[in-house]
Amino acid sequence: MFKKSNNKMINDYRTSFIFVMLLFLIGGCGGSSSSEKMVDIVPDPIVDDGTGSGNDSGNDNDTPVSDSSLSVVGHSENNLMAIASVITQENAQVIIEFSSENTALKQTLKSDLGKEHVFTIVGMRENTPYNFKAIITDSNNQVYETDIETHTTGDLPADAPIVEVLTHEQNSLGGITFFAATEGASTFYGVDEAGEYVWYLHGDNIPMSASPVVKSLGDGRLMLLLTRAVWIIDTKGEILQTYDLPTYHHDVNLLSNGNLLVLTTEVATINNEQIKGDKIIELDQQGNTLWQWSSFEHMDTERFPGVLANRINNGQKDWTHSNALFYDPHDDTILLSSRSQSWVLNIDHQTGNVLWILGDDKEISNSYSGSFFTLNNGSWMASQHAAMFTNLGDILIFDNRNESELAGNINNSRAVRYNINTNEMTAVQNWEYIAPKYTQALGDVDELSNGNILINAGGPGSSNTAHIIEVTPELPSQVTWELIVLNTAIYRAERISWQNLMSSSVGLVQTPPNNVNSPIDIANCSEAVNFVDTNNSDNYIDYNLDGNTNADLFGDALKPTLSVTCDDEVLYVTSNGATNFDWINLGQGSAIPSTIYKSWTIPRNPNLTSQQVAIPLLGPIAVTVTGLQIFGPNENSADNYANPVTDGLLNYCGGHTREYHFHERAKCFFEWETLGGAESLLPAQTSGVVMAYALDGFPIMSPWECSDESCSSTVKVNSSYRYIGTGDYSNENAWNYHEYQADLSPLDECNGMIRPDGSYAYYATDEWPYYMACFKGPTHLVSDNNPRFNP
Amino acid sequence: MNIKILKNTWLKLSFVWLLLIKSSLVLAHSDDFTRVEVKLQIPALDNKLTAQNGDLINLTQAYLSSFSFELIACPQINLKPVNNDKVNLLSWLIPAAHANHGVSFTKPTQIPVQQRHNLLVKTDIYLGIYKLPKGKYCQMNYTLGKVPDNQGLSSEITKSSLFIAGKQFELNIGTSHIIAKSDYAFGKNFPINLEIPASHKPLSLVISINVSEALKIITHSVPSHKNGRLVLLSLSEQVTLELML
Repeated sequence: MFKKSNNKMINDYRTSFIFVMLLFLIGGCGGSSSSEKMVDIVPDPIVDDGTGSGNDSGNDNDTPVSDSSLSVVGHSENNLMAIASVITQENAQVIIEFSSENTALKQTLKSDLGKEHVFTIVGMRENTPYNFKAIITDSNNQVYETDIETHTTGDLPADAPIVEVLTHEQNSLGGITFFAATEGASTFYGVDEAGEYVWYLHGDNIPMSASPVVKSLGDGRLMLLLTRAVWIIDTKGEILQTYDLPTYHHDVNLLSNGNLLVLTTEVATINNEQIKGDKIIELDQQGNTLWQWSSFEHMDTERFPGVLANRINNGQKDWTHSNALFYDPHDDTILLSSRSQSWVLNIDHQTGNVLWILGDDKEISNSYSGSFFTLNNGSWMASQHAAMFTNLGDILIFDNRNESELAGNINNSRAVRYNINTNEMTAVQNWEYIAPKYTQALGDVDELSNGNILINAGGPGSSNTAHIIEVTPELPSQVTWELIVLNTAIYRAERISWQNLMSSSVGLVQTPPNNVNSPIDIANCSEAVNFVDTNNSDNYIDYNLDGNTNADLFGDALKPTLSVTCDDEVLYVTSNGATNFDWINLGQGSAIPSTIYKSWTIPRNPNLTSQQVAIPLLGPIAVTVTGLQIFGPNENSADNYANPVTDGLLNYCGGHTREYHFHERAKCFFEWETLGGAESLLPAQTSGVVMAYALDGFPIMSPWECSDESCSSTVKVNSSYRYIGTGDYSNENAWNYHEYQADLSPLDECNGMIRPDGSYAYYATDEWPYYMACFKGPTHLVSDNNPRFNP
Repeated sequence: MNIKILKNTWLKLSFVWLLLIKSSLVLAHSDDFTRVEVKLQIPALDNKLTAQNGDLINLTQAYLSSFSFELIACPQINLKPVNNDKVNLLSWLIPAAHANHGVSFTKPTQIPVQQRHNLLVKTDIYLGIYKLPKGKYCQMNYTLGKVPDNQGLSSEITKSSLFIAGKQFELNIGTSHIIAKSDYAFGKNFPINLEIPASHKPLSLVISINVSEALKIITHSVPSHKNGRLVLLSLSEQVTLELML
């Protein structure tokens, strides 16, 4: 299973096909059922997060089986996986549902249209009987269900540590928590919300390092940091890519262009002493070194602030002992966590210059003056691990506190967060959570997608038990989930969603559903008519008139992919987040555009509710008809409440980079010609143009509307908000400095109104709030698209 | 003069002296950097503009909003930590930035401007003294963006990064109309050939923008936003650098 090719898994598939074919022959399958029943179209991936009560294991409906059968066999090399196979006589798409007595219903992704459908089922507990059912959608969108098949999983590897969940609250993000034991272990593990193992990866040919690390890439892929190797795998354990490293020390980042930033060490002789420092190298996929950074060229080789920096291993002084990298594409900078120096450095990826240093400035040389922050509150970290930027631009750190004034062996280790102001060079400790133990080595902290923080106090210290704890991000924090792993040292812990876990069950990771005719299912989804087929480069806006698309200039990963499908209740939009218009370099860091895969679920046919619900502070509130995300009317300055339109570098399309998102009306849709020769992507000054769907399901219209039901004329729709500030946009909270005045326009406080045809819609106005200020419709799916939504 | 005043004066003088010494020491250690005074010059536009189609336009209003410049080192450059004079010792010399647009000017070669230029009068702005890493620079980024109003201008202008209004010359009557306009940020990297040498005395770098050349691409009959795009796309070709040793 862990060979560097997919051949083994293909063999598994073949074995399963043979098994299924035998079943057909023995059972005389192939006759048509006389009692087929049409049922609702089954949605694309919906994965129960485990918190619901749905346990649909029984075959208690009388839906007859179509002329297709389901077979389920255990995976030949992994006791917690199974192979489910379905062969259909006609082209169809298939989803596998599975559940057990004590676990909620889970679904795989839908297979591609075809006759042979093979799934690798992951996410099952050990020694547990599971029920499986295939949901088959034929090419006429008729849906059938197979009979239930059962399969009982096998044992876990014998060396699996004992785990126990101490806390599990409703406001935990949920999902699977991954980790690996250090020191000689050969297995990576994943446990579910209840602390049951549901995933493992074991193999004698895995070149485990002394501190093996599994990192989530956020899209269903996992990155294993091994001895002089990095493997990118899917959750089936299939190796998608491997990198050989010349050397490796503790951390690797995968860049969006496929290159790796690798943290390594190097040794130099200074003042007759062997000094061990850090080297960061950037490798391309062929292993060529494209860029490197040496601590000996950029850091003070005479600073040895404590015991860790003076520690001698193999005759080498452990001067820096860096242990974490965090690449920030927004600024094209790298955070480097130096444990021995108790510093986090910010490094310019272009020049290698150290831009600033977070940490204590004691015993520094003159050449560093001006690089440090004045800490106005709290205390600096010491001997830390795992520095990262949060979504809000703060820095989150696992603070071991070996050499802190508040020593960890007395006060325990902690997770700590700093807010920094790089103009004033000031910092504030704005949050901390004291871990239940002192971790003298190892440790990790991650910001989760709902804002909660996952902490791994995993090293040896005051006890040998690792604590993996999810807490809320405010002060005082609430523990939402806590797992202990007995007598085990764990370097890092990662959390992924069930949806991501299932993403590799069938087909390719990050590949949107691929309908045979068009990815935009106009025939069966009325909303799809409003979407723009950005898969077609004719619909590309060539702002700079050079005849090139972003993909032409930056690679095929920048080709937009968009798919739109529906069921009765939900509109499904998947997109890779690549823009169908030219990227403009606003000097904000990364010299190339980026993408972000999104799978949107939006309610159909929404009704107005009696309440107005606040939109989330940050993150998406809607998706455009080109599959790009729309954020609310505040961000960045003024504690993220500033108006990004008046205080933001938005480009000609009303949005900005770092996973492109709009704040302002997507003006470029109406102003610029396309490569296909259209005057504009969407018609300007035309009524009834849907340019987005809000996450509550209501459309967001372009700001032109019929004056009456017969549309005798078209009028411009303006916001009812009035700016009442002084022009100090950086420091003004946009919500406080815009006042709703009902007489300014027909729009309500959410920026919507009843259209002349009686339906409700929001409007993309020229002025604040640009798209919408609150939800007027159902919000039950909003948090699926933006975990920060907290009504 | 009583003793107390003498003491205070002496203390103040000592403090200034210490500051100067500190500053000299820092600079003396900064062999990898050269202090460079940076100026931005934009010659005033002639208010009679000849459009690409030959139309003569009498310009009535012309504004351009610069957000920042950035020098981009040739790939070989790899330098030690930098302390930007602008951020630290000499920050008081720099005009206060009114908006940060979520951007932190933390790179040593970023040069904030954040000013709106009236193109009908000569622009000659002192942007400050920067400690620039010595070496070769192969590209520059010029970014335009909206900047807050400090001149009492109309909101139509203050919401723009480029705003050009005028009248057809032959019909120099009635109200002027907008000829070229952009209400968004725009940036572009363009090639330069600049070497910052080692120097113990400050150098002078003048960034000049010949906007009038960029405006020649305007066609009077074209919608203002399309003229605006053409001007922005061609503006970087009109940026020149002059380093005076």
